[in-house]
Amino acid sequence: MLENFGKKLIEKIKHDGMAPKPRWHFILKEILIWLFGGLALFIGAASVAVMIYLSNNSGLMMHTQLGHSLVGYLLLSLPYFWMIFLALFLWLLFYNIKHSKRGYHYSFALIALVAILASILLGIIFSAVGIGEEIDDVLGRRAPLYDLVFNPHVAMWSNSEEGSLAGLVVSKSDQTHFVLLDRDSGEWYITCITADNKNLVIVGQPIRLVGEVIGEHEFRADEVFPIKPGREFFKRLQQNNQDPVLIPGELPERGLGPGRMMINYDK
Amino acid sequence: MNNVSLNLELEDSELVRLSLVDPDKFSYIIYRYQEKLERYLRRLGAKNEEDVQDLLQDIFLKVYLNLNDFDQNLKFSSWIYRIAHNQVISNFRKKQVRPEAHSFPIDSAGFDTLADDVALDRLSDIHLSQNVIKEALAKISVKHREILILKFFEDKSYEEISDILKKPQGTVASLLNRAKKSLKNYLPKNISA
Repeated sequence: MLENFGKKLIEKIKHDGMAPKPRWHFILKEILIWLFGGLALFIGAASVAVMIYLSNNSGLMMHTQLGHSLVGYLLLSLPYFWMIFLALFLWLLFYNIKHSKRGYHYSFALIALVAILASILLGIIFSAVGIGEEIDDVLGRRAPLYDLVFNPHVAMWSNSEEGSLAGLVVSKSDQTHFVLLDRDSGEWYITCITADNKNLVIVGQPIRLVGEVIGEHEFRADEVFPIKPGREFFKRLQQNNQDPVLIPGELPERGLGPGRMMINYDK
Repeated sequence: MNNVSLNLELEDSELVRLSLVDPDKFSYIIYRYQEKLERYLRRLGAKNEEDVQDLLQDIFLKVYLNLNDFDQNLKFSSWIYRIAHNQVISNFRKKQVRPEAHSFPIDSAGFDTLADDVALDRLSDIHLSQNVIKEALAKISVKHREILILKFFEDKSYEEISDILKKPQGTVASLLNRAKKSLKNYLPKNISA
């Protein structure tokens, strides 16, 4: 019976022309598993780099000026998209390691730990060479819904009623008076009362302001800060608007006080 | 060297190498593992002779087609048992039936080993009959039954079970403990000798 079964099987193999799958087939499969694992590690590390970039520029120490508790500010500024993105690619990395030829030897905890540490270490390296910054700039320039998905800071700094305003300087009469476009392309007439960081007020450059709304579309800036994450997003506003032309000296419309400027888009 | 001595003397890995060149040599592998796998399939719950033969054929064909995937760092027996295990699980899934432990070869020495092990764990000298264990085995989950079969009936080491089930050895050890606990839950509380 034993020999009979074997004979029949060998006959079937010969009759059906079956042959062992070539060795390269299995080698290629293993290479692809490691390649996708490497890709997942690379993308996960890139998201770590963006998170580091966002965290380094989160302005956490300004939470009181913006009317938030430390925890509240932290929760608002956490880059949830990038955290979910990292988790997804960590899982992919884990899955690929587990499905490699020797992957089953290692426990869930060990593989998860290695995947997390590797992503963080590579992410720190990526961050050090500026990859996080570069990714944020590219997304800022091109990604739809950038301010809603990729960078929570844009929304946090677009809260004029709470004293924070971010946007693009589109024109200025002097270092104290200038016009800012916010994320929704709304114009703000700014009076800057601080001497610090006034050199940041450059037409075509985005800035963050801390201060107070003093009238319709008027904002008094007590402090000026640069924008790093999201700067390219604000620069998009320039493309959507004609370059304004200042008419120095004329009394502005819309209730602007002395020394403010009026923007004439028609010239 | 004639066929019989070739089959007896050569290592599994050598037979794999020969089978890759000449399909006829694959019959030695079949000859060496057919009985063992047949027994394993019955223990895992293959219901009838026809099922066993169909499964065996599928397993050996899969082994033949994947000979180049055999990792020389593994024992060949672990690799072939892994394929058998996967084939059985996929077959049960396909047929959407739960494997039943109804066809244990009753004379298996595994029952005594398992009975001794469970009795030791229970810190008693009770003797567990084969029928009692067989009934309890039929009631526990497939996952638990399978690991007990590999350990006590197929006499596999932790390392081999790890290679067959593709689980870390630590997981194998804890799974085995849980399987024994689960088995004990289905054993009568007081069994007299």
